[in-house]
Amino acid sequence: MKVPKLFKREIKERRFQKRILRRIYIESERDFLLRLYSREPERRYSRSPELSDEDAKRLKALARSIKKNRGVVRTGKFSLVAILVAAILVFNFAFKNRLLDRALERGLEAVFSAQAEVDGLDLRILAGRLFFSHMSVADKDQPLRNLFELGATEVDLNTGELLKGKVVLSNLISREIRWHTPRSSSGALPGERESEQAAEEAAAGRGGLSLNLGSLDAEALIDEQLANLGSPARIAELNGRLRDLQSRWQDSVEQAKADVDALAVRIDAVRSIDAGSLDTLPELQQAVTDIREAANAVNRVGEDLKEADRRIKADRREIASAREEFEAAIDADVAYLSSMSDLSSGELKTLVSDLVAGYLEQSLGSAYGYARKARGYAQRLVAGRKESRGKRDKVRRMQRGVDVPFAAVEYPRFLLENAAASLESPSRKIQGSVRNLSSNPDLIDRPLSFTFRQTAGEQMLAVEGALDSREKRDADLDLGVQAAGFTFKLSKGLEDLGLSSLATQYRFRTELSRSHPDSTVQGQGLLELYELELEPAFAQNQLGTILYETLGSLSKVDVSFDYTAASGKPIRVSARSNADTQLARVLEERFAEISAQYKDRIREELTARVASQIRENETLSRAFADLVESSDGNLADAAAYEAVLAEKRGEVEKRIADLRKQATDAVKSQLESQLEQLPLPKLKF
Amino acid sequence: MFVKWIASLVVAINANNRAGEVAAGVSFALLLALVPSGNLLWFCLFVITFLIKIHLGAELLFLALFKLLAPLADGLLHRLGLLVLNQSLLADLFTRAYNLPLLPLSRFNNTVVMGGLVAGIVLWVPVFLLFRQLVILYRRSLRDRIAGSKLVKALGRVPLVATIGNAVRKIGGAAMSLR
Repeated sequence: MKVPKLFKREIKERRFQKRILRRIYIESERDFLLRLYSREPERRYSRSPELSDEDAKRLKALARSIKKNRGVVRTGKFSLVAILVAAILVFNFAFKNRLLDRALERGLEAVFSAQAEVDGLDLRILAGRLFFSHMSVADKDQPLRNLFELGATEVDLNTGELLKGKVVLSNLISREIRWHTPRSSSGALPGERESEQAAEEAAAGRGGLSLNLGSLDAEALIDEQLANLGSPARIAELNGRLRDLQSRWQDSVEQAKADVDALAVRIDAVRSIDAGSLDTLPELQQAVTDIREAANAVNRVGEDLKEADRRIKADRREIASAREEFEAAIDADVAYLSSMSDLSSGELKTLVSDLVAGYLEQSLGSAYGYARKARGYAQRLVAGRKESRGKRDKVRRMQRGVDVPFAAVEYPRFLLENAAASLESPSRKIQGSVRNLSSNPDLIDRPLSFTFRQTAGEQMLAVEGALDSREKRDADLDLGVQAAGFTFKLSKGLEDLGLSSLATQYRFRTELSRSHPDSTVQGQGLLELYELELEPAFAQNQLGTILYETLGSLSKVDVSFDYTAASGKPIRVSARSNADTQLARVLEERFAEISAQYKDRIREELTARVASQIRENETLSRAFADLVESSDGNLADAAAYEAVLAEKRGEVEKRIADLRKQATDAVKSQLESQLEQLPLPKLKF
Repeated sequence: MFVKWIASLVVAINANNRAGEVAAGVSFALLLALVPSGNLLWFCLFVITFLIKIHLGAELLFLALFKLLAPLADGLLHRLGLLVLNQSLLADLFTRAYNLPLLPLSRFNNTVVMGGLVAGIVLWVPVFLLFRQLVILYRRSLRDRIAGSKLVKALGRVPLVATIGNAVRKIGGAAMSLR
């Protein structure tokens, strides 16, 4: 059996002692070795060349254990660590950026609740530099638009703090910042796409610009007061009554007409009687009988017709009366509606203020919505910090002791000390900065502050503010906004004011503060309107003319405003304008005209509301009048028949009288002739 | 696992291993037990013990044992740590260390961590010397005497000891054959 190299036949004493014997810790093994090797005079140890298999095997095991006992480092495991380090380096160069890219996207998606994309990311850990060529974050409320988009961006990280597990950005530079840009695909996160549709529907449901002039809007006023108006019910009731009468009288009048037509045959028969030709008694008797029967029939029909005529005319009077009542109801309704908007005491006198307040409620509402979003994002950073504290609580033994504080700049888990961005093009210059964006504002004891300034020609928009998430704070949000050189245009919702459009340049500034902890927003500001351009809707509109003349005569209109918004409620704006007083004075002077015009407007609108019913009423009334006319015609026919009968009766009676006279005369002359022939004595005196 | 560690320890003290490896394993076990886990310091100490030649079986076995007892000493460790951390002479050193990258993750400013570290380091040498001497003493005086004793043979029939014996034979192999 082969003996290990360590146990050569001859070994120098020094080597034998130092390399072999010193590394044998078991007495029996030491004895075994000393039995094999004998000390030579030349300071050498030597063994016999022939060894048994058992001894060789034992030497082999000894050699292995001696080798194992050499040194203090485990070379195998040390190599593993070296491989691990190499793997980290490979990861650093090959996978780090890809993984960080995904992590950053996930982080942004968690904060903004919408899809985020990061391209061209490059992190240099030792240099503490982060660069990406493009980043976009979608707007969760409008998934087809980006909340913001960044071009090439460079971030300087505090690597010392990064090694402590804290992200401290000492500086951030970004170019080509854009926001509200369109996206080619929806930026809603899976699971939030359902709400996308609801948001679109809600947006569609929102009307256009709604001015705070409800009482001047005749249409809105009628809508609002419809239940209290009498005229619509009156006209409906009148038309119902007309429809009833129509169906009832239609049959009666037609029956009467048929009766009259039936009489015509008899009357024609009577009319055909030639009284002069009636010579015989039977002929006369027949004629008299015909006339009598016809007269009876005419009388009977005539009585019915007279009764029907009396009743239909009574109904006609009733309908006419109801129509008059409807007209009166219209008048009453117009008076009522006019009284609802007391033109003399309020609305028109604060017209400019109301107009601006309505506009501001919308525009400030949307700006405040953005501020609330920003605050929500800042809060999420703070919430994240609290979560990580919760995880630490699991370590128990360290909690039995205390952490002794040492003087150090304590950074929060995340801190953006300063970020500035600018975008400059020939037509536009944009600058923005954010300071002290932190996951623990209490630790740095500074609120997040930001500035934004955009200039484009004469237009300027500047925003600066502070978002405070510290535990002890008076206000959640302080915001100041200034704008100048912008144009304010309105072309809708001005009809009731008699204007077709309004355009003006304006300067604007406002400061708002959201208090803590009640979350009430309070703010004030000033809106200066200049270079007003008004167009009246039409010349006859008094209100439009007054507005046109009054506002047109002012070189500048100042509107100061205050606004408040309780938690979760929309903003309410109250405004005061220097134009209000002047406008009120002019309006007072011409109040009667305006009031009449407003009444006309209400009457017009109210009439339009019941126009279809009025048209129906007119149709029904005409039909009913036709029925009355038909009834009159029937009555006239009956009267004519009576006249015919009377005439015939006269003729026949005359014929009878003539015939009687002729008969009497004949009898008389016959008697006279017979008397003359009678031999009667003549008495002569 | 415990059986494996015990068998490994039995093999180590009976085979031609340095007595110091076993003793260092026990000393490091004490140090790791006294320092609370869950911080960078404990992790680094643990990794170091894997890279140097100490007896891991002994370390893990005694670490499990000392870990059960260490919380009993937390009060003392806290006081010791507080004493060390409040030393004005060391304040500057600690402040600098606290401001260095990574070092705060060791939680050295925690009184129990610092107390455990100091106590572990202080106890490391005596524990090392003690256990080294015990191993040497065992090898000199007891090892050969008990190897074929009736007592050992009788104990070998106890199930747990028999299991350990099997594990020893499995792990020991050639090393044990040195006997």
